[in-house]
Amino acid sequence: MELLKLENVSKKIKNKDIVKSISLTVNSGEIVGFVGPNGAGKTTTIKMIMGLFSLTQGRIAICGYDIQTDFEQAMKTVGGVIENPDLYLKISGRKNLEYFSSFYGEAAFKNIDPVVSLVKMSQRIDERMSSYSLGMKQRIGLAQALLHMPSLLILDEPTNGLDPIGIKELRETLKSLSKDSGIGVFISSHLLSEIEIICDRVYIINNGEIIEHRVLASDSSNPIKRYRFEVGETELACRYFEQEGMACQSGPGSVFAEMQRDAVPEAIKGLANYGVKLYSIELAQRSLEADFIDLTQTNDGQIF
Amino acid sequence: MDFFKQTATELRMLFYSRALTVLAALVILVSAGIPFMSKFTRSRMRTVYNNYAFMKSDFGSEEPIIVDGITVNPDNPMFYEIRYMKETIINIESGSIFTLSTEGSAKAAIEIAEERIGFFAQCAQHIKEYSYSTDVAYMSANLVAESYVLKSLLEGSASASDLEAAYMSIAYSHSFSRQFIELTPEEQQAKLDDINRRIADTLSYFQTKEIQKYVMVKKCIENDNIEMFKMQIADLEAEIIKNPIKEDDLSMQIQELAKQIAYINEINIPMLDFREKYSIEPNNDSWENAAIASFESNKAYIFYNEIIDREKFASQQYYTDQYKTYEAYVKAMQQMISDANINILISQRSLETGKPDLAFVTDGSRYMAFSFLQSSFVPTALSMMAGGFILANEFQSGTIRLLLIRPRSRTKILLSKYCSVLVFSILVFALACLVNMAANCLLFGFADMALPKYTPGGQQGFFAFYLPKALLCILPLLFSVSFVLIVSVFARNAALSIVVPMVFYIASFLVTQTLAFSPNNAWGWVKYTPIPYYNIASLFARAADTYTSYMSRQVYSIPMGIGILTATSAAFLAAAIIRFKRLDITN
Ligand SMILES: Nc1ncnc2c1ncn2[C@@H]1O[C@H](COP(=O)(O)OP(=O)(O)O)[C@@H](O)[C@H]1O
Ligand SMILES: [Mg+2]
Repeated sequence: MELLKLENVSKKIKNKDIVKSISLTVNSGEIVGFVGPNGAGKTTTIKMIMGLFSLTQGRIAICGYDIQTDFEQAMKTVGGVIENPDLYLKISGRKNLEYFSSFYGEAAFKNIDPVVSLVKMSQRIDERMSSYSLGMKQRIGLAQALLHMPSLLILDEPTNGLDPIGIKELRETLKSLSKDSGIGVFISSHLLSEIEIICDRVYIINNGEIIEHRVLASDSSNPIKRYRFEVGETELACRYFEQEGMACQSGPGSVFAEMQRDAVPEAIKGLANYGVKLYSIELAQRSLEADFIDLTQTNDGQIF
Repeated sequence: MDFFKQTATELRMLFYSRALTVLAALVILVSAGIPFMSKFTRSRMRTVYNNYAFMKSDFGSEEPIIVDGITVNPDNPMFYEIRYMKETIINIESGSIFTLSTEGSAKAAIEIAEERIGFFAQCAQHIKEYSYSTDVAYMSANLVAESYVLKSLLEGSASASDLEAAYMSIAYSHSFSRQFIELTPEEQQAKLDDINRRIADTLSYFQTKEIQKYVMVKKCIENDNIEMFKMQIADLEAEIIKNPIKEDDLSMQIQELAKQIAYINEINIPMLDFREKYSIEPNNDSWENAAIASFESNKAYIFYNEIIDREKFASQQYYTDQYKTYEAYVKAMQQMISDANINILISQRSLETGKPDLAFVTDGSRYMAFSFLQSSFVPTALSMMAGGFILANEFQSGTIRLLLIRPRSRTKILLSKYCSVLVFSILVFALACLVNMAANCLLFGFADMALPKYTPGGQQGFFAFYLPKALLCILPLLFSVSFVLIVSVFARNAALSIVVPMVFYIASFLVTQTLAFSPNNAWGWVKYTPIPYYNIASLFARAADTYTSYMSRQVYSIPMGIGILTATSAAFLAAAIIRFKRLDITN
C-alpha cells in the first residue's frame, strides 16, 4: 500500500527554488532513505509533507489523504520528527508525551508506557526534558511520533546526536517497526552509510532535485557490491553483464560490475561461456557511498 | 467538545510552567495582602495625623497660664488665644496701640481682652484638643466683645467712640454704629440678652457636646454672617446711587455677596439641619460626616458651576479649547451636574435610611473590594506574560514544529491556546478579587457587605453593583491577550510579544494621565483607540475620585470602551488566525 506519495512537489522561498518537482513514494513495510548533503532540501521536503510548509506546486498524499484538503485525516496516520526534537523543556518527558497524546485520544495515552519502553527511556521518563542529552531527546522525539501508532513514520536526520550504540538501536527499532508492524518509514540523513543497511530504497537529493533512486538488496547480509573483473575482452564482458541486468562500467583491461556476492560464481561461469578471458576478480572498494559522493559533489562540494 | 478538552489541556500546560504559577500565586498573595497593607497605612496615617505638629500647641515648653483659678496648659488649643490676649493687654498698657489714644478706649480694650481671656479659659475647661469645637470657640469670641460693648452702652460707663476704638482694636465690625449705636436702648437690651444667651449656649455646648446646641450656635453664627453680608449689600447699593459710574463694578460685588448668602442658606444651613435631624456629631470619622461632606462638595460644585451662555462661552478661550462647541460644553456640564445631583441624592438617602452608601465608608469592605478592581492591571500584566510564554515561546523554542503536525487545524490549535491564556488570566483575576474580598471582609467587617448601593432609581445590593463592573474588567484582559497573540504570531519572539504590549500598556497609562490635563481636542482621536480603556475600572464613578479619572470620565465612556476593546480584540484575533494559517514554519 502506498503510504506516502509526492507528485511533482516544488517549493519556492523568496523566489528561490528550494525543492524542484520531487516525486517519490513510500509503501507499507518499507524503509525508504532520503539522502542528500546539507542544504539539499530534505528538511524542506519533510516540512511540506508534515504541513509545516505550504506547497508551491504539486500534490502530497498520506495514506491516500491529500494533505492540502484532508489535513487532519492525513495527520492521524503519520508521526514524525522534523529537525531537532524540540520538546517542552520545562516539563518531564512523560508530560510532553501526555500533551501530544491529547491530540489523538485515549488510545494514545495508553500507548505512552509501551512506547517509552520501546525507546528505552522508562527509567528517566519523569525527569525534566532539560536534563536530557540530545540522544535522549531523540528517543523522546521518536516516542512522540509513535504514540498514535501511525502507518507512516517520517524522521528527519534522527541519528544526529546519537552514539554508535544508539544508532544501532534505532536501526533495529525501525527495522522491527517496518517488518513486524508494516509501518512505512521515510528517513532522511546526510550520511548514506548510517541508514544504507536498513533501507529498502533510497532517494538521493541534491540541490532540491532527486538525482538518483536505488533499490537496495532486500537482504542486507547479501548486499550488492562492486567487483573488478580483469578480462581480455572488456566490451564483450560488458555486454554480458548488461544482458544479466547488472550495472557495468568498462575500463582499460578491466570491467566493474555490481552484483550480490551469491551471483559471483554464476558470473564467472557466464563470462567463460561468453568466451571472455578472465584473469582475476577483486572486490572494488567503491560502494554506494562512493557513488553518492560522486553524484552529489559535482560542484566542488559547495552547499547551495 | 474536542475544543474544550484541548483548551483544558493547554491550561494544564500553563500551570506546568513554574515561573507562571509562581507569578500567579504572587499576584493572588498580593491581592490578599493589600487590605492588610491599607489597614496598616490607615492606622499609621491616623497616628501621624494626630501627632502632627500643627495640630498640637507649639507652646509645650511654656508655663501654664492660670485664669480665675483655671489652669490652661500649653497644649490646650485655647492657650495661644489667651496668651495673645495677654500680650495685647501689655501692648495697650504700654501705649503702643495708637488707635487707643484715649484713656477710656484703652481701659475698654483691656476689659474686652480680659473678658475674652475669661471666655477662652472657660472654653479651655472643656476643649482639650483641636476639633470643631475649637472653631466654634474662636468664632464665638466676638460675642464676648459685643456683649461688653452693649453692656457699657446701656450702663453709660464708656463713650461710644471709646468703645468703637476698643472694639475695633480687638474684633471686627463692618459698621459699628449700625450694629450697636443706632439701636434704641430696648433693642440694645434685647440684643445683649440674645448675645448672653448665645454665650451661655456655646459654653453649655462645650460642656455637654449636645448636637442641638451645636446646631443652634452655628446657625446663629451663620445668621450673623448673613446679616453682615446684607449690610454690605445695602452699603454697596447706596454707593451705586451716589456713584452711578461704578455701577458695573459694584453690582458685581453685590452679586458676589448675594451668592455667599445663598451658599449659606442652600448649603450650610441644610447641613446643620442634617446634623440636628440625624444627631451627627461633628469631628469624627463617621460615615455620616462623609455623607455630609459629599453633600456639601457636590452642592458647592453645582453652586459654582452654572452653564454660561453662548456668547460668554465663545469669548472664553479656556472653554473653547476644552469643549470646541457650545453644545459639547453644555452636554458635559449637564453630565457633571447630573453626576453631582446623583451624589447629593446618595448622601441624602444614606442619611435617611441610616445605611451608608459604599462611597462614605472608605474603610469598609465594599469600598476596598470595589477599589481593588482598579488594580486589575496586575492580572492584565500577568496574562500578557502567560500569553507571551505560551504562544511566542512555541515559535522560539521550536516546539511549534511538533505541535503543528497533529491532526488539528492551525485555527483550532491557535484558538485553544488563546482561550487557555484567557481563561488563565480570568482565573487569576477572579481569584485575586475573591481573596481580596475575603481579606477585606475579615479586616473591615462582613456587615458592610450587606449594605446597599444607592442609584438614582433606588438601591441595589453590593454584589449587583459590583459584579457587572468586575466582569467589565475582563475586557482589558481580553484585549491584552489578543494583543500578545497578534504580536506573537507576527514577531514570533517571546521577548517582543511581552515587551511590545507592555510598553503599549504603560504608554497608554501615561497618555491617559497626560490627556486628562490637556484640552479635550488635543488627540481627540485617542478615544477611538483602546488606549483610554485599558484600565476601564478608572472610568467607574467613585466617591474618592482622582482628578485624572474624573476628567477621563468626561471624555471616555464605558459603552464606547466596551465596543472598542471588543472590536480590536476580535480584529487582532482574526488577523492572527489569518496570518497563522498560511505561515511557513521556518524555525
Ligand atoms: N526559510 C528559508 N528561507 C530561505 N531559504 C531557506 C529557508 N529554509 C531553507 N532554505 C534553504 O533551502 C535549502 C534547503 O534547506 P533544507 O531543506 O533545510 O536542507 P537540508 O535539510 O537538506 O539540510 C538550503 O539552501 C536553505 O538555505
Ligand atoms: Mg535538514
